[in-house]
Amino acid sequence: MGEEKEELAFELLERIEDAYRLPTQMQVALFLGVEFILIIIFYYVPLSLSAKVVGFLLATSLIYPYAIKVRNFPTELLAVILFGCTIAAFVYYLAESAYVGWEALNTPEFWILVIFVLVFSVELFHHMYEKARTVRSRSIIIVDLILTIVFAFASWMFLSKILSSMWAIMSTLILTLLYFYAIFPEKPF
Amino acid sequence: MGVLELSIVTILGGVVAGLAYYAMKRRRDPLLVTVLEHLTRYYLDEKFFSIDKMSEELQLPKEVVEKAIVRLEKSGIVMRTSKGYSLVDPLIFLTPRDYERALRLTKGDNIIYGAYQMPFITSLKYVIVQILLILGSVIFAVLVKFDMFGVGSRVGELLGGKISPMAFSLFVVAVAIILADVFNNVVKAWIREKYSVVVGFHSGVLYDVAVPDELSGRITRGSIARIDVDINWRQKINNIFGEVPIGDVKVWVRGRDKPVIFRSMPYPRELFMVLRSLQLGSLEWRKRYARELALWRGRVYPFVSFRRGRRR
Repeated sequence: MGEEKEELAFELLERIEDAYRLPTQMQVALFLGVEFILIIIFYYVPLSLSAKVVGFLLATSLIYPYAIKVRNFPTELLAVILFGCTIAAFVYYLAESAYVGWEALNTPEFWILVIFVLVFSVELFHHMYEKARTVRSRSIIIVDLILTIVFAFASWMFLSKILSSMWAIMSTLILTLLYFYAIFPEKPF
Repeated sequence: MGVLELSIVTILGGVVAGLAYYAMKRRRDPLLVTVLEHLTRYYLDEKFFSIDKMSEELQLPKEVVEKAIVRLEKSGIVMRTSKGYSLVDPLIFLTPRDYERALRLTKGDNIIYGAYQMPFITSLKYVIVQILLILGSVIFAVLVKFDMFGVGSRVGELLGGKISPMAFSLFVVAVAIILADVFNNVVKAWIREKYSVVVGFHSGVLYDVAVPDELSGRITRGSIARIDVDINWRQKINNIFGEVPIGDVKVWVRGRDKPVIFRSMPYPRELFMVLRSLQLGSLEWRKRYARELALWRGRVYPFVSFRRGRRR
């Protein structure tokens, strides 16, 4: 019984997740190590400097939430800043380099870009900021509804230009429902 | 495209996002902590409580207490049931519907752990479907962009010049990302129907054995012979990099050779502790750490803890 009592006295940490994660120093070291490898890769990849910057930011944003598991104000702030930098750079890069110019409003390409940015930015934000993905607060639900309405409008504007009205309505409806279901906060377990 | 313009836009994006986060971030709310401390101190083993009584005990206006309780409800610490508010044990990860079901089936027992088995998380099929969806669409976009194997030209022909192939490939990537997320949500909804595990202080361990099941799997507290936590290498990797720490919990029942295995349970070490407490009939550790667990669970205030804790 003595051993059993000792076992029960086994300390639960204030943040119980810590027991499962790497130590903080290891997390930081791992993140910096991966960043170093990314810098080397992007240095040698034959792309324009702008593409390298955007690619590096994208890769960093994808890796950050996997490597850094500490949840406190500084780490969340860093995640949000990283998200802001990445999405701004990515949208600017897409709009400038690619496929649509700023003057090409109301073309299918423009509305595809709007759809892509809506999907990509929300999913990246969910990836980087856990609460937006899991907590069903009023403000998050309102934002999700607004985004869904914008998504529905952009989908309709795009699909109505390439499909007949009936198919455009059907496809917009299905896509919008899927989008709302995808971005609606969901418990992780 | 100028790198200077790109840099300015990037920095601006970061500054705007950072300022927005800082402005919207909730500061530590002393009132919320007071209410939570009162709840964990006096209502841990009570089934239900009322806002009127809390307001009287804390000598605070009813509206203020109600506002705090609503915030705690959103965090999952407090749950509104048909019989009133109930303090949810910090290790209960069930949906309100399943928590009510567990209360009903255990005849209002003190439920000390509730979660879903998550075998899909480390399942190769689950991971491969998601990778195929997203990576496949990205590969398609790259093939179109560089017209590799004539994919770009062929897509252009199929679209008949209505839209550029590259823009279409972006649309394909967007749809693939949505589908991957929907797939993830559907799988989670499915496991909630099939894999509930509930631990009640008097009723023991109850678990679903099939989709239409109502927690018919049962291990009474007196029949637990041995408990073990087993974390395999896939779960270990998930615990380091993934979202929720998981592990298998094995329970040997007296009179049976093979253990009952709860696969990929969230926070397996804590489930182990709960089961050991149940086996020994002592919930001391739970009372001792209820406040910390509830604060952690509800993210009531941001922890900026630089204290070095003991590691296992």
